[in-house]
Amino acid sequence: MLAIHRAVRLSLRLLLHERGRLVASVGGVTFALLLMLLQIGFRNALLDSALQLLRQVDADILVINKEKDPFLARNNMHKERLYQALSVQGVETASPLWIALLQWKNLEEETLHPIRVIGFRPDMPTFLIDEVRQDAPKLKRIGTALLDDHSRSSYGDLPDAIAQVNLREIEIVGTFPLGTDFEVDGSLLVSDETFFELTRHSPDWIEMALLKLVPGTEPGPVLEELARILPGDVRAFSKAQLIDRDLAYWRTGTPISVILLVGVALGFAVGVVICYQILYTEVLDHLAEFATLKAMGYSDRYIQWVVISESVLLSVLGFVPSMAMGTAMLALLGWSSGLPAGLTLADAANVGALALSMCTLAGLLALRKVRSLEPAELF
Amino acid sequence: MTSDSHSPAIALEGVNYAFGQGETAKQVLFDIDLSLAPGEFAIMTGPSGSGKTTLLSLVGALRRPQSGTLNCIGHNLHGLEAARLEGYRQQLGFIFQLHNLFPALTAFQSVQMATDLHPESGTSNSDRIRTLLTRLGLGERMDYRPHQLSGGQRQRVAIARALVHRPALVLADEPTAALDSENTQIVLQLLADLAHERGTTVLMVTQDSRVFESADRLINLVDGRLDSDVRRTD
Repeated sequence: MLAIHRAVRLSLRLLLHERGRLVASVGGVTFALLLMLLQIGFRNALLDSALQLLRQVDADILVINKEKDPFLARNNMHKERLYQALSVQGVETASPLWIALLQWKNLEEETLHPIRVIGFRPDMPTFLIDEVRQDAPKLKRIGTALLDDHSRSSYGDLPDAIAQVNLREIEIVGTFPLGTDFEVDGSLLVSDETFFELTRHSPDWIEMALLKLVPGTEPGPVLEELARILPGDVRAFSKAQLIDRDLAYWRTGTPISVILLVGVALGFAVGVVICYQILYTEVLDHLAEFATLKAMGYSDRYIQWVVISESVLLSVLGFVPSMAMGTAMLALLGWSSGLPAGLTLADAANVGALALSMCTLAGLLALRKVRSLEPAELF
Repeated sequence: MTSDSHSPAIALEGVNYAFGQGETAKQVLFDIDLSLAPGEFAIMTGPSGSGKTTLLSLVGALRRPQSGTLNCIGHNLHGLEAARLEGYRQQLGFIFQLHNLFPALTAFQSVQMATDLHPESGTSNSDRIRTLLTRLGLGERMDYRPHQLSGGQRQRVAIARALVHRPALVLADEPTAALDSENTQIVLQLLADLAHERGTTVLMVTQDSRVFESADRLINLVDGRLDSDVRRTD
């Protein structure tokens, strides 16, 4: 333990001695970590944005078209399925939801932008968002809407009192926080009647049925019963099941998620190379000194600890600024795009582990030079 | 293992050494027989390329022996495995021609690298470092890093590092080359004190005639062979 403590002490002194080189080294490590952090942040944005609507629906069980995979895909089903689901013991309420992609007009720039319009019954529990619950009664008046205030600025100066959707005027009576995703830059909540006015859709075809269970009812038996009685054109999922299913889809079923993971791997590889160059140069610059230590009777293991300690210290010193810069850059991305781009504590821990692995691997590679070191080279 | 007062500190018999292998091998040492008693101060001199440094590096276990027997302070240097090799080296004080000090370490910290291998009480080691550096004229420069020291001062730090743990055997390669006369005498006196008071054996390679008078023996190596071995009492 004492030897390790002394090795760490020497490595700290070596690192801190040349401030300019230290700054450059930490900069290199920070750059590599930032690459990984941003890829992780983008991936989080992809996953979180795809799930944010699902997470905000107020439902214990959802009945959807069996083809509706992932959740944001638009596949409707007949409203009769809702009534069939409502007949199952344990189901307290069944709320319909309609979804369509319509054209929002930016009145200042005279440009059209797709917007997700979600229709629901204002008198039924549909969303968990406080602002929606509070303002839902206002939607009973046909021609009114609640606007997602995380929508992108391409929609114009938001919120205007009067907006235009599918060439029809809509009065914005409130806002709610949701966020954009990779399909649309904004969302609008309207009543069922306003939805039919805007879309001319048949009320008999719904996007999904949101089931609330009688308090205390276990979802398992209800799901089994629903599977038994509902025809094969629909499926029932608990909300948790649907979230898991969608997560699996977005994580492994889409090229973009895999590409972002490859980005993380590339960032790791870049980091190993950068860190290796730093440590290798450090070893090379101090070859005579290390050889002298061996001639004095220091063990190979001590010198290895010095190099590994330097690599660990670099990872720690690079981690802090990379987290700060990554968090700031992702916040900027989130602000400008409306996407939920951010990092969780788990992400920070993962990046910390990656930083440590990256630098330690580089240190182990740099040790090859130390292992081959012979004190006789001092002559 | 440590040598007792009757067995030689250094006992070399029939030592040969060649660089390279096969047809390109160049032999640099031929049948070297050499014995140094504990506490003896020997100077090895000779023309450039005569094998002095090679012999020093063999005794210091910086190179693996090829043939002959090498017994130094109770260690057979043939086939020493890693742990025993480290243990042997820790009993030496090796002074190289170049100081090889870490630029990041102060004079005190550099010498402390040697005492770290020989932990006694922390206070005792620190005191010994300060005393030795002061004796070498570096009392006011203990917190100075190499770039703040002259060439001679750096060499004195390296000498302190080699001697602070009172080694059983000191091997020195041109230790006084960068020193002025006054500091040369200080270093020689240090080595003499170690030899006479603690029984440290000193083997120094040097061309510096200023140091000849301090030695008990003058060994001359020419073309890899022992040309002469003169005791000053002779």
